[in-house]
Amino acid sequence: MTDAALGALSNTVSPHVPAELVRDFDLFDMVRDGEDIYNAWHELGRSAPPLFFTPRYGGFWVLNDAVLLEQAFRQADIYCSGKGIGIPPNPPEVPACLPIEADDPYHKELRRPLNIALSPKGVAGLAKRAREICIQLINDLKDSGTCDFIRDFSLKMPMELFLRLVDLPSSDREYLLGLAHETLKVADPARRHAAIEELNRYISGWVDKRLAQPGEDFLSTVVNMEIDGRPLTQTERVGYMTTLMLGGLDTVGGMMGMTAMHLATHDAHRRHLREHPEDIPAAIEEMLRRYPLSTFARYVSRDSELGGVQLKEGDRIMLPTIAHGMDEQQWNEPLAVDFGRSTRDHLTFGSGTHRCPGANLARVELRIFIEEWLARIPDFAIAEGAVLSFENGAVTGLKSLPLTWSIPQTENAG
Amino acid sequence: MIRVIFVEIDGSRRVVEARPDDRAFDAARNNGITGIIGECGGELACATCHVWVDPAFAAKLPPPGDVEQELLECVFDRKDISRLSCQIRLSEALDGLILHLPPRQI
Ligand code: HEM
Repeated sequence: MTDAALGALSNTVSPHVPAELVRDFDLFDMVRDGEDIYNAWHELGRSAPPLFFTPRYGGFWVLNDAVLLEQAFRQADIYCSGKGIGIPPNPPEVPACLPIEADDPYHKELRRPLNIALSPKGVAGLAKRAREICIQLINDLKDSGTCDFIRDFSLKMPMELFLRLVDLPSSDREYLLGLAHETLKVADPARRHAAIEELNRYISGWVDKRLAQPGEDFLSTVVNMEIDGRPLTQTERVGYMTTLMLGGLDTVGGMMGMTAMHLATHDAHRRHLREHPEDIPAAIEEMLRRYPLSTFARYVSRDSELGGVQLKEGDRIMLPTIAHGMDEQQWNEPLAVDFGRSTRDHLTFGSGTHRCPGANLARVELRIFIEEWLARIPDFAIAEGAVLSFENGAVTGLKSLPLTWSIPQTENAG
Repeated sequence: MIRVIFVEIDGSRRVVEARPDDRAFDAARNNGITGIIGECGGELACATCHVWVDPAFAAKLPPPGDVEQELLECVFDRKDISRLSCQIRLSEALDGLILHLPPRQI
């Protein structure tokens, strides 16, 4: 960082931050179109210290090391979420994302019903629906021989499953995907704000309907739940539902995109999974290890030492799960994809008390996608001349993924 | 050291050693017992570390709490002797504890 640039940002660097640990790192400006964001994180892992400080977005410590990331995720009493996990922080009028922006014991109480809804049995109930939607979506596009995987496929299945979980009409899918896009991906703050408000109004309307007429769905559970003998507030209910909708959307969609990109460019892996479907679960774990997506913030709740550096109460830290997957101390040749490697303890779903409750569902969605796609479109490639670009920011993923395949390929798959 | 015996569905047994105050879940994870997943890492949040406690030991364990009961409702192959292994705290009194692995966690 040049002295001049540092000077302009230096009001966000507190005096306790050692000068040699300051880097001008911008989560929203890591890669340009056509550059690979995983290479960028891998390079950062090699070149920057395990823990460094960036003055951007009000100032954040960045954890750039697998062991430190695991430690910070686990020590949720020191590195807490209740004051927000967004980068940059959400404006105060946005309802807290629950249960993610809450601390124990309140957080654990909030999460109880979700653990049940997304338990092995809960997920088994959703799997049938997932397969139906998946087959239908693939059938709709397979005869065209081409698609933009991100626009035409990857987000639709997770949105359908959210709608099923809370029993909202499937016909709202495209409307909600539009709003979700405005909320998460549009840079213009005014448009983003308008989308958030519209989404909140939509959800609030359904909360009221379930209050009047409860059903068996998960929205009814949240509407009727009590914590410490009091019902949830409307803001809590809306924040919970928004998190549930958005938490499983870009993440599952992004992982499917990365998986499709990988299989499109690795003939041997594609063939292997067609011939050995029993290896699909191991392949999914390696995809999760190789292509983590999300970065969360934490507040430091008391003075503490992390990786030999003194942090102060009130400091903010950034937990990039990608840095874990790309860490050379943690993984041998992290950029290589090896379905046979032991992927136990990847951090793509986080760790500790906030560890992703949707992990089982996400795995089921990924498995069904791989099985049904390869059965119908066994060979496919990235469209000639396509430039692959990644989103910057808190959740990465491909901006688009143009695929092509020859038609007709499949006689027997229906 | 406390011995814990994990019995697979086919009857094969693995004897592993644990320290006092470990949970049965830790004993399984530290010794590569793959029949126990423990997706949430032992946070009492996921219902994927389900075991059947051998009847000979059932009376030696404190009964499950509310949250564990709730989660036991959503495991496959539930029995009276079902427990989540993250809630079984080991002690010398439980030396030789026999835990049966159910056919599936997810
Ligand atoms: C591959 C897909 C997914 C990835 C990579 C992923 C990743 C994560 C991570 C890393 C966390 C921890 C956040 C933190 O510590 O602050 C998390 C939490 C969460 N995820 Fe996921 N997730 C995925 C799919 C899903 C799905 C399908 C759902 C819902 C159906 C979901 C809902 C949630 C919720 C509600 C939380 C907050 C949990 C809490 O605070 O206790 N996620 N996810």
